Amino acid sequence: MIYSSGTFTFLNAVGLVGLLTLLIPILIHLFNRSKGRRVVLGSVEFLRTAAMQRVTEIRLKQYLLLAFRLGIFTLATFILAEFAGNIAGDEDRESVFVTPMWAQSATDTDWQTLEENHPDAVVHRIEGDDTAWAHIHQTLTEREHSGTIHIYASATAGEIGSSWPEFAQPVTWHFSNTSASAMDSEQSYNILLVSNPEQLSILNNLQTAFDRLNQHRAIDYTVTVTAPNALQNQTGTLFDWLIWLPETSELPDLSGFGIPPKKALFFARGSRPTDETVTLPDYPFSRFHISEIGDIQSGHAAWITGSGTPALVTFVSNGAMWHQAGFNLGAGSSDLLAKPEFPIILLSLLQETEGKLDRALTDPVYRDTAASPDGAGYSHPLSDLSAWLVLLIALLWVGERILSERQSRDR
Amino acid sequence: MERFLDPRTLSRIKDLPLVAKTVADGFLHGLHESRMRGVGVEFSQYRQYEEGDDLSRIDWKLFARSDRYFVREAERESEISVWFVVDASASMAVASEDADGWTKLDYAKHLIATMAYIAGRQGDSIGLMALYDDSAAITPLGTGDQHWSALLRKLVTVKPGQRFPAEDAAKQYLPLLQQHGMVFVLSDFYQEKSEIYDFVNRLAGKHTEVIAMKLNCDDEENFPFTGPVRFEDAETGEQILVNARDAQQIYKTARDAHTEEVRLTLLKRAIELTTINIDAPMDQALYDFLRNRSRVVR
Repeated sequence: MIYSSGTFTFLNAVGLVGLLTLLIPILIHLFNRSKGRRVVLGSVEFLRTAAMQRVTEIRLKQYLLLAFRLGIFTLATFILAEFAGNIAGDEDRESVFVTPMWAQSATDTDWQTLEENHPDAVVHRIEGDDTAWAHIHQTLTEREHSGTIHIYASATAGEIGSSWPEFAQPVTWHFSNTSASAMDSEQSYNILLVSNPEQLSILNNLQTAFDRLNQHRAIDYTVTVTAPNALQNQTGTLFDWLIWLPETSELPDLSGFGIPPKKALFFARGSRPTDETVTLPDYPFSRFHISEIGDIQSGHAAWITGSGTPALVTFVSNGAMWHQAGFNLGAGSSDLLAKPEFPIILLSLLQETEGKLDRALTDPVYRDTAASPDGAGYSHPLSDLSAWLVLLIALLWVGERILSERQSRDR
Repeated sequence: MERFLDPRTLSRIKDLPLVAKTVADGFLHGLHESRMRGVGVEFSQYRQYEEGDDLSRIDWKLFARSDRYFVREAERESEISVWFVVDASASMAVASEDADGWTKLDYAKHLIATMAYIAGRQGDSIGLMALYDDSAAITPLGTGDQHWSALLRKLVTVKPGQRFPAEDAAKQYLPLLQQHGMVFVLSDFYQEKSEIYDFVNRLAGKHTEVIAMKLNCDDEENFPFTGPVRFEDAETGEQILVNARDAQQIYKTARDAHTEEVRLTLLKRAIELTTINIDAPMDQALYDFLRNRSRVVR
């Protein structure tokens, strides 16, 4: 069973402080009159027969009452601590995350292989929410999880949303062959990157983004960096993409570089007017929750990412030949280039996967039909345990009441 | 108005002689007004006519009033000795839980003080022996107010020990008590083996009349406890946890059996047993005791 691995843990470990409440029934047990107030008699000989008959029952009742009360407080604390049985696990153990597309396309053999490869790991199935990664990342960080993280995913861009969390733990990616093969033809890019020398920090960020794509999406790329004034040296070379960083009012003639139509990305700073009306659904960013603000009809629109970072600031369509996308890159920590979602945005741009993404990500179907309790990105079936815990508390409470009332009547 | 003196009221009076005199005076006054004239402190002055008695000793005036023959014994020819022996074991330090009054030992002290006062007024010699562990606090026989005061001072010093002396230890005090007279033994008759029985049985002799007074408190008689209670034995410290309500019947049965056993054991030696509730008025206890005794004498 894919969810059966893992040990008990608590989503809100601080809630376990509630276990201190166990002192209450213990103190009641120690000091309660029901334990038997002390009365001095001249002789207890007359009670010896009675004692033999009753003492066992009395003690049994007392300990049963204590057990009921301890159980009530313990279960209440567990609920408080969001008791769950299959999330994370021990800090040192492996955790396996499965993306919706992987789960959708995986065969029984894939699942079997996964379980064989990670017999002791806790397996989490990500549900296709854009915040899933961030949520998992936060959860693992809170638990100080230090074990290896295995991510089973397809190689399709954007599958995991626009967020690309930085895991402190070692992450091993496992891409499904099916997805990877589908993307084989688009796995290699020859990129001409035009940059001024003072734009080294931007170059570094781009390099990081490409490295990540290479690492996590098996993208092979060759980037040729050149200055604008040395551009002519690259004439005759075929490039898949041109990335233009220097600020300029218009792109140079790129006809000699063999760049296919609509393959120029014009990264720029500052707002520029648009020459053509482009609607959001037509653009790959739609998968990444980029929304439009302002009035694009008037040429003063800007697109921002889900995290509020300005993205596309200009979009120039040069007839049927070029799409010139202007981005507010910058080198600052708040600029798009520094955002964790940038690599996946870049990937979607490079692969022009708009249509593919839409097809691939339509209504993922999961093997497990258990609904996510909070839509936070992954399901933990044992969260349903809370209902059982509440029921158990109710039963314990009834038992406690019955015993208490019986003791009260005895008094 | 309540005729008898509430022991709770008396317990607030810390002056032992005052309590004794108060009880004695009230008791004697009650006797004076009662129909039991002739059986009070002066019980030795009158007795019912018996065949062979000298007719001249019949009190004809009393006959005229009561239509019964009483023999006048104007004064006893010789005083008797009256010993008061009190069991000062730990079980005697028990009182009713809610009574806020005397323990059995406290009650015994006041009862002894009162009876000693009455006996002293008759001119009897009075003595005290408090037995605990292997020791005894003793006030030898004597007469007069000063001796009564000395006896009271000794009484005040008596503290409860742990147990009634074992047979061998108690035996040494017997010669002192075995004189012509009466010995009041005040005890709850809770014993480890049969040391109290042995002591009392040895005490009863040809010339020594033993009167046993068994002291109980309300809690011991009625067992009013409910719920889980850890009962602790005053002498052994042993604790027994029981549900008191469930144990009540068993306790009462066992206790009644014990009382009957005490009665029968003493009866074999012709020892009279009087059971006294320390939470009832003391003068009433005295009154009842003498009334019962008068029946026995008759």
